[in-house]
Amino acid sequence: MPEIFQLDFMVRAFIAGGAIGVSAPVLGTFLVLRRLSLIAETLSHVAITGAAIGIFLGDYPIIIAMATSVAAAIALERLRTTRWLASDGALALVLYTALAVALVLISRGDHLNVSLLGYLFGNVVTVTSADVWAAVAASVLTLFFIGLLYSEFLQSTFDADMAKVSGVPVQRVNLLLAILTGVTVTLSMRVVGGLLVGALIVLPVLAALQLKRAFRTTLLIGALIGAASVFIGLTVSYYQDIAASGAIVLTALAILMAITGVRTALARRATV
Amino acid sequence: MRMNGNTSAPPLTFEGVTFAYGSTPAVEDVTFTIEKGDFVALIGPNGSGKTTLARLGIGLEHPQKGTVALFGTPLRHFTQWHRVGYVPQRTMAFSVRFPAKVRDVVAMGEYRGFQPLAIFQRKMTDAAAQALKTAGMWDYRDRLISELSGGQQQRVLIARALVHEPELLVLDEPTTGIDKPGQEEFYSLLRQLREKYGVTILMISHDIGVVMHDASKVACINIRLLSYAPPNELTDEVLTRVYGHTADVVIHRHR
Repeated sequence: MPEIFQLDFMVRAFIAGGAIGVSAPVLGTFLVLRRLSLIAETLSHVAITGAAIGIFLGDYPIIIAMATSVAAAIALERLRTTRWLASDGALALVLYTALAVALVLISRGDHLNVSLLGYLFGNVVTVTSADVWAAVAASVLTLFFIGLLYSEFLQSTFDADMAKVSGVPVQRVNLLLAILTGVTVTLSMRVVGGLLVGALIVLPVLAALQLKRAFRTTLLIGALIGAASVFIGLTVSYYQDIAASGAIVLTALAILMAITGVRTALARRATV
Repeated sequence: MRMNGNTSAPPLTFEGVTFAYGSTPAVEDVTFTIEKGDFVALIGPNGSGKTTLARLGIGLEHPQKGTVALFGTPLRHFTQWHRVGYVPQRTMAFSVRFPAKVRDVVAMGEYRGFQPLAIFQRKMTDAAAQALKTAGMWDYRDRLISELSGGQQQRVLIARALVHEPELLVLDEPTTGIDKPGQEEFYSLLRQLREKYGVTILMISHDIGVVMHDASKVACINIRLLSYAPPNELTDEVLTRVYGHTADVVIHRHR
C-alpha cells in the first residue's frame, strides 16, 4: 500500500474530505441554480466567527460554530422571504457582521490567532476521528434529505412560484436547504478551511453544469468531480507538501477549466 | 376532467382585495368573481396591478385587505392545488441554464405532495405524455429546456400546468415571445381546453384583438377594477380610461 494510505491522519482526511466532496456539490447544485452561491461563503464566515467565539470562551468551537451558522442560515432565509433586504444585501449584511465580530475577537484573544488558523484554512494533520464522524454525518444527512425531498428541492429551485402553486411547501424547503448548508459548511471547515469551503460547494457544480445533462445526472457528475477534487488535491498536497485546502480547490478549478476548454474546442470544431 | 371537492363554487373570487408594495398601492379594493367555464382576460397598462392581482388570486401574494377564495375556500385554507394550473411570464421564470429535460419539467406538474422515492421515478406517466402532445411538445421530450426557443419553453410550461388537469388555469402573458402562428395555435389550444374540458381561464393579456375574440369576460384594471364585462360591452370610454387616449388606435384597429 502506498505510504499515503498508511498514515492515520491522511486516511482520516480522505474519509472526511471525500464525504464532504460528494455532498457539497449536491447541495451546491441547488444553491448555484438559485443564484445563491454566495450563501455558502457567508455561512462559512459566520461559522468561522462561531469557532472564534468558541475558542475565546475556551470550549466547543465546532458546536458553537454550528449553532451560529445554522442560526445565521435561518436569519438569512427570513430576511430573504420578508423582502426586508434583497438577497445579496442580506448576504452582505450577515457576512460583514460575522467578519467584524471575528476580527474583534481575534484582537482580544491571546491564543486565538493560532487556533483559528486551523478553521480558516483547514488543517489535515489536526483532523480528529470526531471530525471525521461529523463530516460523514453531515454528508449522509445532506444526501438523505435531498434524496428524500428530491421533488420538493427540484421544484422550489426550478421556479419557486410555480412550485408554490403546485402545493410545494417552498418556504420550509428553503429553510431546510439553508440549514443543511450551514451544517455542511461548518463540518467541512476542519478539512477544507472556512475560507475555501464555498469553493467546494460551487466549483464542481459549475463544471457539471457545463456538461449540459439532465438534473439527476448533473447532481451525480458534480458529486464525482467534488470527490475527485478532494482525492487528487489531498494526494498532491501530501507529496508536494503544500496546503491541502488550496490544492483541493485548485484541482476543482483545473477540472472546471478543462471541461470548459474541451467544450469550447468541440463547439468550435462543430461550427467550422 | 376530474371533479372533486366543492364543484359548484366559483373557481376564483376577489372581495375587496387591496395590496401595496410598501406605500405604493398595486391593487385597490378589487371585487369580482370568475365563474366556472369563464375565459377572463385581465387587461390594463404597465404597472396597473395585473400581475399582482393574478398572483393574489393564486396565493403568491397575500392581500392586506379583503379576501381571495379558490373554489369557495379562502386561500389561507386552500389545499387542493392540483385544481389550479399556473403559467408565469416565461421571462420571469427559471434560470436559463437550468439542467432539466422537457419531460422532467412536465413531471413537476404532477406533484401531489411528499413522495419519499420521487428521486427514483423515471418513467413518464400517461398524463405527462398526453400534456406534452396537447401542447405540441412531444417530439422535444428528451431535450433540455434551456436549449429550446422562447415559444417552445412557454409550451413546456403550459404542458406542465396541464398535466394535472387543472380546473382553473392562470396565465400571465403566455404568448410573450411566441411568433404569430405559434400564438394562433396557442389560442386554439386554450379554446379546446375550454370547450372540451370546461377549464376556467384567467389570462393577463396585452393583445386586445385576442381579448375581443376569445374572452367571455374582460376585466380592465388600473389599480382599481374599472370594468368587468363581456367584450362586446366594453366601451371605448372604459378602454380610454384604462389606457389613456393612445388606446383609440389599438381598439379601432381590432374592431
